[in-house]
Amino acid sequence: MHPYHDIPPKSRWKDAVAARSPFDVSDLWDPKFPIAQGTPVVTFGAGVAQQFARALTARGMAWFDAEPAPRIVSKRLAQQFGYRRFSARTAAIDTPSLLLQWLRWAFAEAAIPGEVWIKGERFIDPFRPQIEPDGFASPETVTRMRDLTLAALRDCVTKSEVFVFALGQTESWFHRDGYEYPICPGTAGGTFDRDRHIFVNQRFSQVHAALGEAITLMRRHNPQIRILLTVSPAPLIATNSGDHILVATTQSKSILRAAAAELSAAQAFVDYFPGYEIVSAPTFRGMFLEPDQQSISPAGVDFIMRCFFDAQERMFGMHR
Amino acid sequence: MTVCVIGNSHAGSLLKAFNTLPDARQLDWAFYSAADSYRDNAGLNAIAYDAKQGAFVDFPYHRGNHGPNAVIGNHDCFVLVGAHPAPVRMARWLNQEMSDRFRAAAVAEICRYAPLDRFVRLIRQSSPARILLMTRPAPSRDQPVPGADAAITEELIAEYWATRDVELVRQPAVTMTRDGMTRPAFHKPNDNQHYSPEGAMLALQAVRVALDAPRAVRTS
Repeated sequence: MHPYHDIPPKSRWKDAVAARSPFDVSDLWDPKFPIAQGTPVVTFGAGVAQQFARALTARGMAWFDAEPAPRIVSKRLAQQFGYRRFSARTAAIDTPSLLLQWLRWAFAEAAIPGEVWIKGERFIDPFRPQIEPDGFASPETVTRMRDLTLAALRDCVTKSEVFVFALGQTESWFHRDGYEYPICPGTAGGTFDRDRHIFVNQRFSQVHAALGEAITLMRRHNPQIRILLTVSPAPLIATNSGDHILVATTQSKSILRAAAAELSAAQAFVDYFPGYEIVSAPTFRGMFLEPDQQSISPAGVDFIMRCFFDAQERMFGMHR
Repeated sequence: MTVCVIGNSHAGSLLKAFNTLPDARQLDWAFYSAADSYRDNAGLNAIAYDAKQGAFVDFPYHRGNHGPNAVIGNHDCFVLVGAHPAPVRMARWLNQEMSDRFRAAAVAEICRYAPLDRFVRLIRQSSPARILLMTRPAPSRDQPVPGADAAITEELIAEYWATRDVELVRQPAVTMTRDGMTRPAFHKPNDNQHYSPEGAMLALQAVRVALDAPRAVRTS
């Protein structure tokens, strides 16, 4: 007798994967905590977090929109202005260090830089440059509207029970003064300046530390909050690392995946949902990707979310 | 000049005022009205458009010299009345802090969804006629919103319709409170939606003043 003698079928490749159609691969996730129908859930992170929010809402679950658009406004228009995408209008947050920066600002644990970009007669928020299609009317409005988002983010931390964070990538851009931009200046506003703008392809230790600090900060302000991590399966759009994009993507996702595993293994209130594996594993033969091999197809999103809800039901019974 | 008033019950209020205060000038007025924002019980467009005639047909009520169908080519000016939320009501729907561009886009979207939009679209397919638009009067019993918000919203409504070559006829200031609500004296008793006869007369007067003014230059 040895430990592998009694492992369940899901633990053996032959039974769990090789002998099955990809659509029959199951039991991919054993959730640590229930997310019931009325559990307030917030979603942030890479773009895939939006699909998570949509799926939760479609199921009638309590996705918390802390910075809602007026109800009269169509979803299309609201989303064009960054509403109803994430639980606050932070726009995508691809790196844990950027999440930490937003959280520190929200809880007044770090000073917010005064940088504002100019575009014609309008003003761009460097920390969410595409949140408004035409930018804001004045630098004061940039600050004022960001303050609203920071207040909403505070609400997300203090009033929710589950904080979903989709990790996007490790490549990041910093100002030499130490603060981080969500995207490279010059690509969607602002002007790139190689003396001031510094590329950092974050290593495991940096990602792990930032994510750990972000979680600690959130728990400090809400000791009940639980964290559900996932890694966005969407590959990098472009890399500044010098590596081939495929190699850079693999490195990025591997580091994020490892950091998520490390933190999830260390804390009962941190869990990891394997959405990344469902799309990226060779077993699924890329079938959940659109022809550009970058975007996740609606069928892929459905499959991922079905895995999510099935796992919740298997572990904790029907959603109530 | 022929003036074609198309509207719902609010057009009916204008017609009553018109009967009381006939036009001293030699304008040829025609009134076409249908209740409940031109929609039938199924929520469909109750007023059909006959593309062959270029006319809106089957109005339940009409008055004037042009027969039962509102033939677009017969008129130099259209006054579209009601079936469009009042500025103060839209301001209330949008009563939260937001960027100027988002507010403008939201106002434009609400205007586009107003049933009057269909009439504007169809008129503009075949006619350069002048189009004036009068929203529902503001309510008098809603929770007021800051007056500045109502004023900004009214400005944005006017800007949106100007891009469609439509001129907004604003609710007469004398009928309104500082918060942009209708003064109770100018609403029908026990009715938070329609002008009293006095209110309707002032609204009709506002339409006449607008007709006397030169046509606004199209802004885009």
